[in-house]
Amino acid sequence: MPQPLEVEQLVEAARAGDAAAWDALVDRYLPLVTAVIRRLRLSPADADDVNQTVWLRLVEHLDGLREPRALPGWLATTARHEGLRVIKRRNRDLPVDPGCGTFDTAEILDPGETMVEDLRSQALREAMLELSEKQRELLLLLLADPPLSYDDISARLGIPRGSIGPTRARALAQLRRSRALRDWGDDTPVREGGALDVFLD
Amino acid sequence: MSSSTDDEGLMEELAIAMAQATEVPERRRQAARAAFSWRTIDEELLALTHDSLELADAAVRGALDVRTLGFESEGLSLEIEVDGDRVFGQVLDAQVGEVVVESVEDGSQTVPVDPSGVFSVVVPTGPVRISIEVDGVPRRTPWIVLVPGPQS
Repeated sequence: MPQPLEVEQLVEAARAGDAAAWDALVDRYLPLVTAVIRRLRLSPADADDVNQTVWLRLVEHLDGLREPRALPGWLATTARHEGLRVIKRRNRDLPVDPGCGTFDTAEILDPGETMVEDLRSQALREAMLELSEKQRELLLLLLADPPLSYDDISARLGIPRGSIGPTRARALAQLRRSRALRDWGDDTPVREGGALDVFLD
Repeated sequence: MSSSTDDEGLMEELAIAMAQATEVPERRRQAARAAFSWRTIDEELLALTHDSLELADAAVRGALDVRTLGFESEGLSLEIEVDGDRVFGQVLDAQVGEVVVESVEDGSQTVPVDPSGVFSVVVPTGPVRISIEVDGVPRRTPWIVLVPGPQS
């Protein structure tokens, strides 16, 4: 399996008008944008509007994007910001209801933790792409819901039952060393405090 | 959330991450892909300078307040007021005869601007942008939702 293209290459190609590169960017980051929007609990129609706005904004922002690796953070921030704008617009239409409204807004306005979790999930999905196909397949089978038995997995992958555990351990070790998780400190025993600052400045 | 998780913790994080990838509605993917057809080169941005939604606290704002937004680029500014689905706008610092309202859903509509720079237009729901051509160069606002769709 060919190594996945890096985000820098995809952005470069999309700038040059390559629609396939754009589609690849969409496929890579849509789960992140979707997750960020979902947390705002918008109506399906408003969520669709925000999603569309985010991608249209990225189209016009492509040329100005200096650091493609900051793209996940840019997308998450833009999705959240535009989602909050829609919420504020909707709230204006409501009759004044301080109790309920204030509570909801306060909860939603807390930016930190959830966006970090969604960016972490994005990094993990990208890290999975860096694994060998065999390692990735094993992890995906182990994550299957409902769970598969080791016998099932052994049969599907054509590897002995006894090697599933060690292969999983190697795959996870590989994952921790991946480029995608580089800023997250997974391969160091003690977590560096500032690793997330790049995303949340 | 610690990143220095053990294998079990990492598998749990992976389960969440991979589930998110399967929870994407297909229409969102189509909309995101289609956005690329709006790519334009050599455009100049009319940057958003203010949106009254972001200024005041919702609690101190009257429900009847009109939303106002301002946009600016070199030698041109645009002020708009949104009242229901109608936008009243004024182009400042430049003489133009028309503005174009672009909508993903409804395409483009050309709107005449009077000699004092004022225009009025019913705006489609969903993301729109306003394009004003000065000296042959279109200047465009960022995409923004001015009129939300019907609440289902």
